[in-house]
Amino acid sequence: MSNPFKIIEPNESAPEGSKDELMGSIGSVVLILRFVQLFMADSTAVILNKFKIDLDQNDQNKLE
Amino acid sequence: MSKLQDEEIVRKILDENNHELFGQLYDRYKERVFQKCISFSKNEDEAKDLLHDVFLKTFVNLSKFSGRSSFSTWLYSITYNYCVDYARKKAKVKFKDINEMYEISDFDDKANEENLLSIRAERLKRVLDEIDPRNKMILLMKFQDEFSIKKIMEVMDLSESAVKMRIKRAKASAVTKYRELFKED
Repeated sequence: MSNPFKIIEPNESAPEGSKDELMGSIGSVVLILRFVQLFMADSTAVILNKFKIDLDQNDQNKLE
Repeated sequence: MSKLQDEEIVRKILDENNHELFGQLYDRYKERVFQKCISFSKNEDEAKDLLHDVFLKTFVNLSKFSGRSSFSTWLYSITYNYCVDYARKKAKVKFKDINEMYEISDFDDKANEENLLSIRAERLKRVLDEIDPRNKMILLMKFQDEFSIKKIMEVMDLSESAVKMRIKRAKASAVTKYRELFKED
């Protein structure tokens, strides 16, 4: 008795050009992620700067 | 130059931000993944979209690959789960809860397996298209991919007893569907 699951197993090949399409999408994802990282890094720097300024002012207020 | 192992490629992609290397993993697995996508879609265009989405999802989640299982097992897990979700969304009927409790004796299970493996190929294809895609998935892993119970456990992230129970229920569901569809014969 032959296994009917093996008979119905597809044997089509992945379409031509599908790799280029995928690598293009991956390139876009990587670009978006880098923009997000850049933005996040900048916002963190702005927030840290703000705190630094506020802390400095607090220190000055205390000294006065 | 010696061929890098899948896991080494993943490490290099993550450590060196070298996403071009992902192409090598794609070349290694595109055929197997595409064939699974075809099994769960109506035509080659749909399967092509699924192939693209499965690999894109794999790339985006690459940092979550823990290395507990092999890369190929992890990729098959993403493939099967993605295809099953897709097929369930497209299905016009609502499927019952797969965790519904009912026992199947070993005697009935053996009879179900014999019946299932004696179904003619074109009829089996129709049966598999009509049952819950989650049952179809586990039957394909067991009888087409010939995965061991351990590998199915890894792909489905289930215990041994849960996998064995799911296989029993999937066989029973396929045999019941076959009787429904071809009762006149």
